[in-house]
Amino acid sequence: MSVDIRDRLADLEIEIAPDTAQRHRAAIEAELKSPSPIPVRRMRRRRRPTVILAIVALVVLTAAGALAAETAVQGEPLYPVKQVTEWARTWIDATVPADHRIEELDRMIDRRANQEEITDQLQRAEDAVADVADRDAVLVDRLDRARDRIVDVEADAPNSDQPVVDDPPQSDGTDRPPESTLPPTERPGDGDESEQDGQGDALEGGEGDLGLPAALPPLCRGAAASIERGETIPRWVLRACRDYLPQHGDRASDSP
Amino acid sequence: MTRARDALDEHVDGVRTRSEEAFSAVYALMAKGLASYANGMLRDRLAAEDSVQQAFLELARAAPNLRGDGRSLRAWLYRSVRYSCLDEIRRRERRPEVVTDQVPDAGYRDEIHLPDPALQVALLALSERQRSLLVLRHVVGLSGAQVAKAMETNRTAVYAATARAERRLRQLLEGVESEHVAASVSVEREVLDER
Repeated sequence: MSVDIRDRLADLEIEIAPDTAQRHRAAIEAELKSPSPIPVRRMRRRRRPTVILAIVALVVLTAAGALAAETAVQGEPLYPVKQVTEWARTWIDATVPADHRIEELDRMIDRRANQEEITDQLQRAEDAVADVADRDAVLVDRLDRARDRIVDVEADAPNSDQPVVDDPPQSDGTDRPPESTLPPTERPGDGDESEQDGQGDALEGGEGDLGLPAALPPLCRGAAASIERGETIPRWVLRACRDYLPQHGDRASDSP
Repeated sequence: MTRARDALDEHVDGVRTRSEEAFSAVYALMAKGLASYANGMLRDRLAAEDSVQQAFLELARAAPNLRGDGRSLRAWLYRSVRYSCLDEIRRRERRPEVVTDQVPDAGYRDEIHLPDPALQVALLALSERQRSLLVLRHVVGLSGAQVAKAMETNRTAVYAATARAERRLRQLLEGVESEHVAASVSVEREVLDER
């Protein structure tokens, strides 16, 4: 079926009735006689600065938030922001996470965070550095220095915070340091009581059976206990505690 | 090569200064085409006339900032009517017509009389853009360049899209009409059976 659509579409053409046209003209004249309105383009121009200001404010706030988050450490409100910016930056530089973890570790050491927090952070830093260790030797050195600082800080800590060797706690009859002051990996094991007693004896007295100094940092103290029990300990602990411990290099684990 | 003068060229300056004479002249030149375009889009004579008035009122407000020549003014008016029609179509989609038992008075029915029901049904099945193209080209009689300016596209796209729209409308009309014939035959058969 051939359909001449042009002819049929022509039926849609309409003429405005004279009275309607008259009404339209009157409305247009009334509009023209009214005071000149604000030109449409000027109205658009007025809106533009608001949009631009909003965009600038958004960019500035985002940048400020990201900048403030740079110094955040685990557990702080801005830390998720830092993680997002870090994720973005990782696309450009894969060593960013490791760099951040070490920075966070340094900050925690500076502000004397508790041992558990530091140990967790150290673990995170070690994991991050392990991912890029073959690419950036500087990061490995920085991590080693951070480990040394942990030991130094512990050694410098006031005696009230340290497990006191000369004045052992009486509650359980042992000289074990309070567990909260030791990293989980270095805490004495949950072995039988005789082992723990043996360890207590070994550490008793600054110039005790192991010949350890009185102001022994908890980390090295835990390491000494582990060595005494025949357990392996990380190499870095051995290195950090080399001034305090007898030579037990053969017992070091392969972990960094 | 100089382009042909547009009939609206001589009124553009007057429109910019909001001259009543210029507006009256532009209305005389444009109202019929704009109303036909809106009628093709809305299938509603009253709404079409309203959209024409609306376009001229908006022109009166925006006139001081009008740029370009007569062709730009023409395109501006068609765009304005097009946006009015789109608003009206959206409004109708949000508020579908309520079916009532009340029959409108005869005068109103004459106003919205649809001369070619099959064409109306087929046009409804087209997209708004296709409908716009067909009405502007074949009802209003704009050139490809004028349609392109009004639809904010280029001439090649207008020609190609119009050809597609024509093909589609032809198919739709054939389908609608064959259904209509089939329906008529079945009704006649029922009437004969009853007799």
